[in-house]
Amino acid sequence: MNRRKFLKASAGTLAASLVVGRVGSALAQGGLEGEDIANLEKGLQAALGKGFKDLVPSKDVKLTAPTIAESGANVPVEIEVGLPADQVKAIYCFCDKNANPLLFSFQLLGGGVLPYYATRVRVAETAPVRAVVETKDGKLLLASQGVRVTVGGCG
Amino acid sequence: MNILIRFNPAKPKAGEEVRVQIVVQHPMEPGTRRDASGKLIPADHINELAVLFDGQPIATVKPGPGTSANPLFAFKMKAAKAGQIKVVAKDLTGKSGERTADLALA
Amino acid sequence: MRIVTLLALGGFLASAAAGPAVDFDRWYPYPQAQQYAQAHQRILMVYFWSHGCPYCEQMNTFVLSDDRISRTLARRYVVASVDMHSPEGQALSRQMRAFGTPTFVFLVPQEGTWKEIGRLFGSRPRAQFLRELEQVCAKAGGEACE
Repeated sequence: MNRRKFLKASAGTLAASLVVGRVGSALAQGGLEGEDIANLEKGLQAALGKGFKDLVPSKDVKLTAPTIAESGANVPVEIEVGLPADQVKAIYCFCDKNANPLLFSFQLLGGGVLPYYATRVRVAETAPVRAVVETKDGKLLLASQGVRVTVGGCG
Repeated sequence: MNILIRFNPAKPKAGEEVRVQIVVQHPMEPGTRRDASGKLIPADHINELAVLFDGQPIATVKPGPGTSANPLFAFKMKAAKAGQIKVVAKDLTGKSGERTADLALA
Repeated sequence: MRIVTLLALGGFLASAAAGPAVDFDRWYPYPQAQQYAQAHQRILMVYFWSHGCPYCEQMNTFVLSDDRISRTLARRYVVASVDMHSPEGQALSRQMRAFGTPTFVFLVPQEGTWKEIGRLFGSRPRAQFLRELEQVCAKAGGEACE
């Protein structure tokens, strides 16, 4: 870890020049920066056998992740579900741009475990992170948070 | 595979929520990382972590390659009674590790 | 900037070209990569990285291992992997005036020397890096850049 000086000024310029063309269309669809539903879909189908259209955005799912990450290698995420523990089967987490979009799953098996989970994940590049909560009655609740991975260098 | 377990609060009251934090020393190789000679380092990450309380499974975590190195796994439970938490971790290469910790009530 | 090549290596290079197939999906120390680039008429991409730099880690984990980028590099490039803080890396980075990591310097052999045709500093997302590799390749006057 010798002389880690992050050259963020250049990083900002690079990021800005990159997103100019894409932000407009993403916002027009109400999407998040770096959204990649086609890639996410692969992960959803593999893990749940369901697609993005089967997910229901819900205020009962609280996903906490940084909006800007200095490194994609270690991004903290915390998921809290505002439902009784006995209604929640599992918590899944995905990232749109990862080659393998499924970051992890957490299954509740009883014994007083609450619908809460926190970990650290890898984010390939600027993209939304998705928390998907599977309820006992078969609903899939969704919360999304855009995470921008800083580009830059060390001098 | 070194596993650490910590409770917060360290001694909860009966019925109180306790956060159980597990940290495992593991490189969690995603299988997509190139080394200094450009060779892909084979995937080697924990793919299953089982949590038991007094021998009963209470939670299972299935981390993918998208979980960071030296992973942290944290969940919460209602501390209904004192007992023993056991964590069993397995990785893609077949290595495993386990650790127990006693949950005491205040 | 010019990097003078030893043309005396010509005989060796000719035999290298006819020798066993080189695995262009991996990276080589600078002198070896330089020989391969010369012998196989490829673009030399000198990759300066350093330990503990999260932006290099990001490139190694997500960008340089991406399928499309790997294929593009393996088709037209030779990658020289240079640890910026090794003794050789320090000398080479001074010579090429590479002051940070990750830095990518693109060179093509020309009239007995190496001509720089591009350089990039800093991590970048996959789509951008792929586009830049294709631009460098087009500049080198090659076909099959995409």
